[in-house]
Amino acid sequence: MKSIIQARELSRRFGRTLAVNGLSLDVPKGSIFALLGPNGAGKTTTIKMLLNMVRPTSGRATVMGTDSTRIGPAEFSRIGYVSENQELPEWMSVRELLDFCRPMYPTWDQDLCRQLVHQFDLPLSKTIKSLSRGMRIKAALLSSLAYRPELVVLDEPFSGLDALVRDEFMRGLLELSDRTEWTVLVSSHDIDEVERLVDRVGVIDRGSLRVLESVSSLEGRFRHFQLTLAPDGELPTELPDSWLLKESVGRSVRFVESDYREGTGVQRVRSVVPAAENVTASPMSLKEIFMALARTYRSEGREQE
Amino acid sequence: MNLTMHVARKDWRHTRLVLCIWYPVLVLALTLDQKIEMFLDERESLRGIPSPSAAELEYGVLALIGVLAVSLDLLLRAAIVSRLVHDDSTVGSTAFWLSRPVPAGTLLASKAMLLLPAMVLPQIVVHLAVTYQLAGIPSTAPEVFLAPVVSTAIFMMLAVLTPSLAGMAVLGGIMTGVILGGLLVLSWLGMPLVAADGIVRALTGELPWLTALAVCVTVICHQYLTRRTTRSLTVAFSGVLVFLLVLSREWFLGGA
Repeated sequence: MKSIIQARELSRRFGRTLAVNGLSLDVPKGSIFALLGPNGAGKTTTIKMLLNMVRPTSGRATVMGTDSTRIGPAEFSRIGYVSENQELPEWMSVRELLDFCRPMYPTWDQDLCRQLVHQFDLPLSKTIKSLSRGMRIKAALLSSLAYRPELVVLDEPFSGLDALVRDEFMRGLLELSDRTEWTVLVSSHDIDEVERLVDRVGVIDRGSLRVLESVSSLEGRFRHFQLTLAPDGELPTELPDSWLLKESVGRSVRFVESDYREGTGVQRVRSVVPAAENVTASPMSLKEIFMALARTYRSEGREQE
Repeated sequence: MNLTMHVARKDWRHTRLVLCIWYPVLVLALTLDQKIEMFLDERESLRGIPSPSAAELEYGVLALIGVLAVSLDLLLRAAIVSRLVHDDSTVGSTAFWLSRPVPAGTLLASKAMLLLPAMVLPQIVVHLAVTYQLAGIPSTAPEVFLAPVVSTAIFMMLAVLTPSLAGMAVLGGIMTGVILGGLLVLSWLGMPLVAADGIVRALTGELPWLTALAVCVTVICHQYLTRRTTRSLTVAFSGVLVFLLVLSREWFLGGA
């Protein structure tokens, strides 16, 4: 599938801090891609480099076929960008904001705009500064969707939103996704926020991309294993690197297999741990996978320190 | 052009209230300034004759109100430029316009399109009107035209390099400090204050102000077109040094 975003060895240093470290990623056209990672992992810097808001220290990227350092007004008429950190003209009313944005976009769809105003229940006459955080994000999203962008970039859009607003927001995006040919790149530190939305995931940790694959592939290769050791059995000292978060209490052992293969997965565990009895493998939700990865990366980080 | 007008109209809507407050303050500040100047000229011509105490008192009151009006005028001018520029900030990466199809050149043109008729022109017109009203003849001195342009450009330069009005004040303070420090160094090196090649005389010429204008325009354009604030700050502070060199050129050349 053709990539709408391609990044190769992208790095950004702020003084002594390496915010993004040799990040390479591909976002296929038409996909809904989530860039996941804890706070400070480098998600926002990555997005800002892709959109030419921050210059990369090294590496390069292309967005919609244009070098990211050359992204300008022509590209921004086809990109919708919403960020929790983005400044909005607070003194304007929602209507004024939409009136201000409309002439900038030849593809502005007034019918879609009216429909989104209704769907998001936005008060047109209220000033942006008087809106709640959720409403403000909705206004920003509306002003970024009404021209039917080819690429929608959402940087932590759900941060601090209550569950109801988040749900409305997500439902709006999903409904539009059914009708619109677009690519969505959404960053979040909380998988819960985007689980329903995405079909491809990138997990970023301390500036490096650690995982980049489709949700179905990720769900296919992660299993939560539980086994009991035979009374005289012992756990080998050398265990596969793909076994994460190993825990043993008495004879009971638990771990996360990150390289599970349907059909041979359980046999492989038995071959590594001959004393294993009652081996069970259970599928993991995207949230559980993300949490397992986050905990693994955190303990790796502690070991490195 | 349409987008330039569109952004300028948006800026006008946001700044019109402050502009409407500023215009009467501008008239008051320039009128008082002119009156105080006339009073000082009169007193100069009556040197040796004791001044009547009522006139002295009037001067004192005028001077006090004049200082307040000029301070308020400066503050409002800084606030207007700040509102205009910081609405679409060129510093940082969070400004609204950065993710919208607005070319940096268009944005700069729209700011200039509003600043020239709404801020620079009123200063020239009011100055001409006040001097004509009080002195009978309109002043045609180059500084009448140059001062509003240069002062507005200085405010705009400070605004494009900072994220807020407070930032403008801090940077303005630092730059003033550097200029004053430079002047102190020059006087310590032996450059006279008021002689033909002195600091005060040099300041009344047009070249230092044209230099300041050139520096401001360079910094403003560089910052809008590249958004490289560190580089723009370097250009601005290098400009301050050039300004000091221009001020001291006659003294240097005379001594050479």
